[in-house]
Amino acid sequence: MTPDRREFLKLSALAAASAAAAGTFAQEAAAEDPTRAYGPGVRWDKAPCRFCGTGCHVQVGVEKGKIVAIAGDPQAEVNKGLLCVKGYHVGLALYGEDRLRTPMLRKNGQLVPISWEEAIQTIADRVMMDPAGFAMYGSGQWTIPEGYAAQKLMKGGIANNQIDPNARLCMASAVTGFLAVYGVDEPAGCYTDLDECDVLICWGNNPAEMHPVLFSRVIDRRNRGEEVLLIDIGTRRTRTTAHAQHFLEFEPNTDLAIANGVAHLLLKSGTYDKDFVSKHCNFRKPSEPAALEGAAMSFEEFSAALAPFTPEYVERLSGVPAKDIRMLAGLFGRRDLKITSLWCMGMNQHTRGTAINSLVHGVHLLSGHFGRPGDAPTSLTGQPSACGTVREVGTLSHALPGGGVVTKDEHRANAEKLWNLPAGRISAKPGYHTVEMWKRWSTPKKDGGDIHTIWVQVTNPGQTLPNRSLLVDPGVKDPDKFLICSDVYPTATTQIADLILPSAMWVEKNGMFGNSERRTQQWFKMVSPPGDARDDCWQTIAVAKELHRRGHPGMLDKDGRFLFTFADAQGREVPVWEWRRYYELNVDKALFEEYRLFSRTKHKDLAPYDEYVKARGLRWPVVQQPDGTWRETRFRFSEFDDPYVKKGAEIEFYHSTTKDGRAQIWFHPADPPPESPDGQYPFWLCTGRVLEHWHSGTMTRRIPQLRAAMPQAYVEMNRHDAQKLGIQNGETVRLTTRRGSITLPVWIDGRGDPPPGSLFVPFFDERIQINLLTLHEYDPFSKQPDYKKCAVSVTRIVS
Amino acid sequence: MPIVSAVLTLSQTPTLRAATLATLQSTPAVTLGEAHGDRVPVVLDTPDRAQDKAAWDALESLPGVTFIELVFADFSDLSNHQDADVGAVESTP
Repeated sequence: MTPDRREFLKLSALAAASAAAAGTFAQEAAAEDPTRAYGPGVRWDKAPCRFCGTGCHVQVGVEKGKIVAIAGDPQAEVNKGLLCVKGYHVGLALYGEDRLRTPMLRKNGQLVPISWEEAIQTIADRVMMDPAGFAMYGSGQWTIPEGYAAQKLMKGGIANNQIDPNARLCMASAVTGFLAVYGVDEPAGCYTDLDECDVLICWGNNPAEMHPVLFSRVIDRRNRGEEVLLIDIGTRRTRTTAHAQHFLEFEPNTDLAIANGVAHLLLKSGTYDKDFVSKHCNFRKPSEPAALEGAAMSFEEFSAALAPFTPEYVERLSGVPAKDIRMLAGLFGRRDLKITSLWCMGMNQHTRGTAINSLVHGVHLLSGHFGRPGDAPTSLTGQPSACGTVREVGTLSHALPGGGVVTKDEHRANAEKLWNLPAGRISAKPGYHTVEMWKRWSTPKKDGGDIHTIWVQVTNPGQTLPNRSLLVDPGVKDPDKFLICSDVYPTATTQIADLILPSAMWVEKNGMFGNSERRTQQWFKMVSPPGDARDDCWQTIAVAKELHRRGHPGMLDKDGRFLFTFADAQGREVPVWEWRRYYELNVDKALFEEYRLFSRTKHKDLAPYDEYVKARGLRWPVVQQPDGTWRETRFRFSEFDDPYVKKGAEIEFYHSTTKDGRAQIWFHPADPPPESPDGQYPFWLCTGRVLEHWHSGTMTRRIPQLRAAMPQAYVEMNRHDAQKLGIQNGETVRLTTRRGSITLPVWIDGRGDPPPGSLFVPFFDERIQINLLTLHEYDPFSKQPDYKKCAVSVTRIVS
Repeated sequence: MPIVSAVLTLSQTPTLRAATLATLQSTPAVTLGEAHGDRVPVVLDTPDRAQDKAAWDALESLPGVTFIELVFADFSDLSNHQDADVGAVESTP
């Protein structure tokens, strides 16, 4: 780069940062856009960041086939031109020197390069030997078309429903919470709530570190002199706590008691919103046998059930002072305030995840803090398309696209109609959820292990499954079991895989994501993948075609056409299963146009693909207007914005489980967790993420700046506990649970600060497998395991 | 090597804020823009990877910096030899 160009670039970069600091970046985008500093040799295009669920848009600069620059997209409403540290490095994540470049098959214990043809044949062999025992395991990093293709293969083709995503481990309880309360999944509000709220409550959530660009909205508002009361309800101090006026530290698992305590005070003081409740809500309690719809209860029964949850009783259970419970209830009791609640893994990775999700929604409904901008209970997701692909496409083992479920006759019939399948093709029996799928893969067939093969795409279960020794222990892998892994880098999963497929990532392929606020986003391929890496979607279609060639009956629709038949603009069929022809047409567009027909089933309407090409994402339902334009919806269930709410209704829950337009306010008891500290294992163990690394670190640990900033995992320990045990900062300790043991260094007064008796370990480091220690017990409805609390002992290692 | 622009949010404590601004102003790799309230635009321009990392480490460790948002990053020089620069991860033993 010449000195002149460098200086010009610096000035442009400073101008962009100045506009961002002034909050005028979006308005001044044309003038301040740093991409203008580049010549015609650099081509710029938009894409959502491929890391967390916030869905920030970046501008990607490409020169000579490689990414040379990244800029926040000032036209994007999500991030207004800002990025977090991971977003900055998202372009470099493609260029680790150990990218997987060729398929490899384990032969005589050694991985050897093979052709794609042999790889596809090998997968087809595994399907044909026993279709019922073949499973796919994906993630919220699948693009929408990738997940849709996998879904169609497994539910409409192989038709065994054995497909589940890693999102089961991160947001399944949010799904069941939304379903139990509103009868339909995903948040009613959107990120605008963060701009409008007077009070922001983080329930076991650390957005300052995990969703920093979203959190910067609060920083920005305060900078402009606005008052935003931030309340952090958590089990350890984090970077979010540093910005909060109130930190309510609670004993793990007692968040249900806190929510019940707030509801109790709203009733007792009469400050609940009687008008909202009488018009829009019913009351619900757990049923026998347990069902997500629960059983009806009267207001009087609800009130009586909450009566024991006095502030003093909640203080005894949770450790949160009674005055703070009263403070929370006092805020919720005020109509003049707007209150937004945020949560993520703290409430979802919980054996009572569905219950606590339902209770927090209930506090908002009971107090009428719902349906106005700034008044919203909102769950965040950790992956870029946990909503778009997992929840909307429905890649969970019980789900169908658009919010359907395989257990409902009408949903299966609808899917069979849209896929043009013969009646009865789709099985009414849900496949195995994640923990069960992997347990059965890890169990010999003679002992009931009826899953013989799992094909993993875009995730790393070898590192992220809980209680790893039970679910994916390479030391006890049955020789009859087979693991296929499509990925971009070597991982803990590829280490134990029998077949490894090199994949394209992010802007090496076309894609679509759906973020945490129902926003569907699109991007085009900008650079080529390395070596012989190929799109995951192509891999799925190529396997389907090979199964078709071998006569698998599920690969044909009822008219005898192959399930993945695509035609170009002239109506000529294009054999996209041949890699060289895959990009002759836009397969993403073809799949999306097919998929979006499902989206009307539960009023999650999606616009045509080309609308997303033009936009920085659109929030569903996206409904066509009389003038032909497409209008997104920011606030669901509210008449002023949601076109599906009846005129005059103000609020309408049009997928109500009680079919009366009402949401359900739940009572759930505050039961103990499956495992608590005791004499042998005296500490609580919580696991989670860090700012620098994304999930299992397979991408971010390859970026030198991020690796240097956070080189390895550690255990955060309270200073007083460390002193009692004679442990110094940086010393190595052994952590032991009933499931396993690991050694790692101690960090005292680190980034987070757990209270006495509590430890925190991040899971990004594949050399320190914290999931050897975690529990696989799960929520009874969502089947989501609890990574946030188990009992652990600490032993100082004397060298 | 990378040119990166960012927005720093500074502490509202006057002494800490003043000390942070003074430190930033005296850091050769940093160009400061005009502050808007607590938010200060900066550009980091470093000659090599080691100094880039050192500059970021220093910036992130300043007690008066409470939040960092990125706006832009150019690594076109880096991308010319990226395969050698962006490393592999040591695997589980």
